[in-house]
Amino acid sequence: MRVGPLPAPTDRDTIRFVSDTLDAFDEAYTSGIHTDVIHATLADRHVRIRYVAPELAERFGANLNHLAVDRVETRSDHELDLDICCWDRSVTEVRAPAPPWTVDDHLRSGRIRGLTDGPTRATFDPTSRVLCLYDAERRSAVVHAAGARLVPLWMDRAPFRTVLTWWAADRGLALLHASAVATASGAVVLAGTSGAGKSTTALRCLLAGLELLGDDACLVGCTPEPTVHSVYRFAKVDEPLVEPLPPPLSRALPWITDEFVIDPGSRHRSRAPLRAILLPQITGGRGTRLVPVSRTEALRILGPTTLVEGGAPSREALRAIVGLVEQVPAIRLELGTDPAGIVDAVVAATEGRS
Amino acid sequence: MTIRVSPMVTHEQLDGDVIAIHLETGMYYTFDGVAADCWQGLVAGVPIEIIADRVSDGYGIAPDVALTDVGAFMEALVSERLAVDGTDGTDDGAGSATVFEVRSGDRGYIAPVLQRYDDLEDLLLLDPIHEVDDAGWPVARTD
Repeated sequence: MRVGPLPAPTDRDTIRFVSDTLDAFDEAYTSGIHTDVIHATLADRHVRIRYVAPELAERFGANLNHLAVDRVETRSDHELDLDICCWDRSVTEVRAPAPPWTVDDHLRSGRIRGLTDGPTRATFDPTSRVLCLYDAERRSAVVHAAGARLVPLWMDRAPFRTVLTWWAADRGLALLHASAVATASGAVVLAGTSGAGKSTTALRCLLAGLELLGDDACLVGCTPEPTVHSVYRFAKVDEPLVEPLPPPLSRALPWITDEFVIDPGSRHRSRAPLRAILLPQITGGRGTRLVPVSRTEALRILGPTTLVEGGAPSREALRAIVGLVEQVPAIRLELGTDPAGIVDAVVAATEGRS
Repeated sequence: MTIRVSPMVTHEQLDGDVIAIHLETGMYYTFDGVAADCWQGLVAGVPIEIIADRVSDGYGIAPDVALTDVGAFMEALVSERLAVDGTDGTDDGAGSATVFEVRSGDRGYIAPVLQRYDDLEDLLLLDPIHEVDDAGWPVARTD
């Protein structure tokens, strides 16, 4: 008779589970049925994405394949920095092993007791039935879906976000919940809670000719100098846009019908030096102003929006964000109603004029 | 009485602000001023009574007020599972207490409070079964 919750899985249980899961994926992958592979460069690191998931390869790849490089251009496999194994169980006969944890170990927001921190981390979303498993020492991650049809469409806008957040933090990088735009002088990230105006500001800038590095997510590192790296190519638009879109913009992810997702075309940028952290704030006034703020104010916004809304908080991620606000100036972007004024202010910030 | 930072908590300090995250609950907390002083004492393993003494001296408030306020703050930390009872067994707190000081500076005394990011809680508590629309996108609760 059970009198309480079972103990959390031991390290040995977890190591065996990871090993067995990766072996099972390899068995499915080597069957050669419904497989695909992308070699990518992300923040100058070699990332391989292997799919045994044809529908997800199409859906996720749309927003990630801008990172792809020719296989011959990549480093050898032993320098592979992250191997993502994306597995749709419904298209293969191979089954994943049973996890070593019980239902009692499932925590809020998909976290799993004993695997929220440390070399092995995992989340499980009961609705989409997606398991994310990350092993820092093996530099491997498994994203296992029970079936692609259960994977919600919103995941197409930020594929593998959880495992990329863990991986980035382990390398002193931060996958920010922020938009990023750039001029020839450099980039700014736009950080804030939902509704603060970051996506709207990014769209205004994109329409005015600035380049987009990311909407809602971007990767930032501070070594050797603060730099923004694009992860996801597309931008979500909160307000109605009249089609046809002005070139080079075009509609993306057309299967998402209740949101408008756009491809920035030639206005997409892969990386840029980071000049400032902008914190948009809607004021209702006409003019837009740049107001320098303290590092702590930046951290109070960037920290929770990235670490809590991002859903994968870790010691390393918090440290990376603190390091970022220590090195990059933070400026409140007091948004006015005049679109031209917003763009002018952002351009000034990219040029170090505040 | 001594409590200590939970091993499930990660925390950093920047310009007097403390940021703490409970890695299991995912909750995010910040505190500054007297609360940050208390946290630093906690991190150093200083007994609550000594933290209260230093707060009383540093901010020029009555010892009983300091002890009440610091005690309430520490209870809040335990309630939020940011702190747990006892020491980590490596120090009785006496050694740490000799080097622990509050950083009152020019600040006035404000009773220590814990700021939890409740405005994000609705997002965290989305019921994924019932609180997504037809396309599977998360939507806020309407109740």
